[in-house]
Amino acid sequence: MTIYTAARHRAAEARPRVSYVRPRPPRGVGTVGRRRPVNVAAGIAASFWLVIVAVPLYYIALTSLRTSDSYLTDGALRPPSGLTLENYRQVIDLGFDTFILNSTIVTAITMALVLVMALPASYAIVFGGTRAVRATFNTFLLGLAIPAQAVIIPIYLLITRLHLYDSLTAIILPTAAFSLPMAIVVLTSTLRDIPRDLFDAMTVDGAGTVEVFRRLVLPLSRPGLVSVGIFSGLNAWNGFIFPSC
Amino acid sequence: MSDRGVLVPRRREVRTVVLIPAADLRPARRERPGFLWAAPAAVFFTIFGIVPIAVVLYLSFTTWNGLGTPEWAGLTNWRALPDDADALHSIRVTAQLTLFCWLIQTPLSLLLGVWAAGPQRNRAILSTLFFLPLLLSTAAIALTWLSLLDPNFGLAASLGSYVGVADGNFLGDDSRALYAVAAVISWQFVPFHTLLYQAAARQIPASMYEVAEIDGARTIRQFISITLPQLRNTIIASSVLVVVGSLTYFESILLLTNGGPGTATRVLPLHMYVKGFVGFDMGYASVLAVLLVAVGTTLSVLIVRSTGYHRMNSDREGM
Amino acid sequence: MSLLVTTSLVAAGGCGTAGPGGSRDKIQVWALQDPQNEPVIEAGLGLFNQSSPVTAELVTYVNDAYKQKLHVSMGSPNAPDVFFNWGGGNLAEFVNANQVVDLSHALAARPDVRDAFLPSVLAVGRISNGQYGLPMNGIQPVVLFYHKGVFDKAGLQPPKTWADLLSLVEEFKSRKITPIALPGSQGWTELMYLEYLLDRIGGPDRFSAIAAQRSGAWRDPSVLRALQMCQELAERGAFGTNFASINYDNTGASKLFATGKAAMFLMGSWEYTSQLSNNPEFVKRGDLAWTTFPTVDGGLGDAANVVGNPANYFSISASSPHVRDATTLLIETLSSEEYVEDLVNSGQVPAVAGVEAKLAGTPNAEFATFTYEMVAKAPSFTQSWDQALSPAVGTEMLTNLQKLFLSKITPEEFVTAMEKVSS
Repeated sequence: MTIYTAARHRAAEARPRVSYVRPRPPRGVGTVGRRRPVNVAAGIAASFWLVIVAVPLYYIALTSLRTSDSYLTDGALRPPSGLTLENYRQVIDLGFDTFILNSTIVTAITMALVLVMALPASYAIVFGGTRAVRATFNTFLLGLAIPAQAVIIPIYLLITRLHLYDSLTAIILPTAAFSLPMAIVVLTSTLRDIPRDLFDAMTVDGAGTVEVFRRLVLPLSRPGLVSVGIFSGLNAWNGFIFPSC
Repeated sequence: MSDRGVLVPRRREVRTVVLIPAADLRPARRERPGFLWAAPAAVFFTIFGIVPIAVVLYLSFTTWNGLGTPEWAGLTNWRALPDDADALHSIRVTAQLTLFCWLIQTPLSLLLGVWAAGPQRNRAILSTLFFLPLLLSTAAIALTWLSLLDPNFGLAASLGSYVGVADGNFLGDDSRALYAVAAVISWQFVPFHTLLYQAAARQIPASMYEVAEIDGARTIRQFISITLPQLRNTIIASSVLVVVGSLTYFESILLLTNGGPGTATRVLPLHMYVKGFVGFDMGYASVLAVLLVAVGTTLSVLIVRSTGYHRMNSDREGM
Repeated sequence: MSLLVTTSLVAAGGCGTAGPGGSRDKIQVWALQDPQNEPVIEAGLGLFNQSSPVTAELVTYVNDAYKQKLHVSMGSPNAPDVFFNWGGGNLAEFVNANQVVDLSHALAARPDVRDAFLPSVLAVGRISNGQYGLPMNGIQPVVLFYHKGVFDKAGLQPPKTWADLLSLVEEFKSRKITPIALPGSQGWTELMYLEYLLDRIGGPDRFSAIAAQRSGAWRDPSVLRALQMCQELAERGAFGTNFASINYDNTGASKLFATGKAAMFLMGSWEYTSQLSNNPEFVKRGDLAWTTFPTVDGGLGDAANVVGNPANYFSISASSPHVRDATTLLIETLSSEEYVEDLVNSGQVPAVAGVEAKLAGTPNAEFATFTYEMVAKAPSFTQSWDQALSPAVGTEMLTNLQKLFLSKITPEEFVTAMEKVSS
């Protein structure tokens, strides 16, 4: 066993047992942190970061209200000489609603696809472990760091040759495929925290795989599902290269 | 979930029984999830991940300008690779960028995450602000920074002299451009990693800090001997995401510097994009894509080896 | 500043936005989103639709994604019937893949239409003896703009020769004014200097040889000389120290020029329209002035020669089911009285002979007449190299040009690199 897994078990032991059967840690775990002494280093970093985050956000809000001739000359951060809603009108005229709708559709479908496929697969990997499942897991691990951009050329071929008229589909499918390895790694590590004896208890009682999935895996994997959801959602929302083909 | 109440006592009941391996006791009745559960993901990944990679390998042996039909060209594209100084250079730039991004993002988001995990109300409000960049698209962020870094009218013009760059020339100087790009990418992704650390820090049992306090350990000491070891897995997971992400997020670079000045910020995926979708030399771009797959796979193996991810399915049983 | 907001949204939304519905019973006309040009095309199509059995409809795309979108679609059944393009190398790729209709016969049957267009502009739509594109909007030559206020205050005159330009560089430097604005983060803005210098030094044939991929064409001494002059200009500080950080698309360079922080600006004629909408005061004060690119002593090229974007073109896909009707559409519309009138009224200068009278009546008559006469009288109009060359060579050239302007490579290394890509 590597140091990594040992550390992981230490952490698991230290955690209150009760948290295993609840989808979220009980409030108490967080609130006792109140007794923690003030962390000065983190506080300084946080204020520093606040400025760095706020300035560009302020700038975006400001420029969206600026006329195009006062943009730049006004000085980047000075309040503008004249405010206008003209830019918003232009954006709406350009078909803003379609853009937002498309982005939302792509993000939602990608997230759903990834979650629906990755969770059952992780379930089989953690609790099953047949040779085929192991091989699948290893394949996914090899794909962990391969960026989806590596296949834009074949995807492009797919669009032109296979007459994939709907380019939205062409964006969703590869984005989802290359989000799967990371999703499976995150979810398997979440599922691994489910005590083996819980699983054994259910199966000894004769619960079928579907029942175990429904009653044990689904409720206990929620934290993992949330991180995977955010991760794959971000990937899809930020997808710029696929859309541009 | 009304059955949860039933679940808890049953678990406790069985805990003693588990000492006898259940599999030996009643092998016939134990049902384990089989390959069928993994099949959708496996099939999907094969069709939209592995098959395209095979196709890209095939295309690397063809000449194709994106129109008409790819024509077999044997090793022509591959022979051109050693002559392409930009390709080698782009791999080096990719590695540098990954390193810079990791060096900026990991300490920052670790500290911020731990800080944001605290219970004070002002922290909740501030951390909401911190997470706002998550909602902006890569393109919006890149274009905002492009204007902020304008050497004559942006922030770069007014603040540049304080950091020794009086002419505001950040994106146009080949020794500085990569740092500027790394900073912008970090600005975009620190919130995400902060989120990871915040969630993990909340899981650390308060009792550990209480004990440390009784022992007289001070803040920094507590951070080093409790927080850091407890966040070990998250640090690994977040670092993996930074490394993997650095191969992915070249859109920011495309918009900020377009890989320039010259090729100073041209990372491998961007080099492939330029060859394929600007120069429409799809055959050679496929060679670069194969190279990208190779780099990605090597990275995956390194990550998996060093983290022990591959043992996940077995180590519980080994206990 | 809608650029930031819109571009980011567009980028987030991507394709799928204007996906052709697939109604193949209409003639689909693809063009760029352009508030100036769109109404002109719409009106032209409307007129055609009144009498045609097949209706034409306009589908527009954002600039960034258009080239790739077109490239993807041309090979597929999604191909448009009529498509906007830049002529030259990009169009040639489609022509070589047999995807474009040759309009030579249609033009031969209508000599009035053929003769209506300026010959130098029409020529850019010609690929190996076939006419594959017809000009569909205004001419966009590269013009040397200068800030009249700054020049007057310093008591200086715009440059007539290269030597004038070099001494102006020193004059403005000593006055702490950037002599020339250059958005050097984008290589195509640097290319304009090379294009003009090679034409002035060696005449238009030098680039024709390069475009025709004649071996040794890049090695020509005039090319080397032009490259040296570009580098020398940058090294003398003509563009300031931070030009490689300056961007054209976010109007950074135009602002620098309009605010008088830079004295000159070499740019396409579209810069006039852009200044008019972004810095109207600058134009109204009469500070925006223009002249032709300086001459080079001992150069072989005619000082009246012009470089830039002759125009944009409409071409017809070979796979279109409506080739005949689409041909009629282009032939009947693009040089028609109404279309040309609309172009002029939208502030453009049509690539059509004898429009001086029409231009004279417009609000920006002075600049419009200047560009028109510049092009009409030019013995040669060299198309922007990045459009004229094949995309693969074009991108490589722009990257190397950036390195040249930053003195990261020598002119000799530039030539060697370009010879390698072109072979």
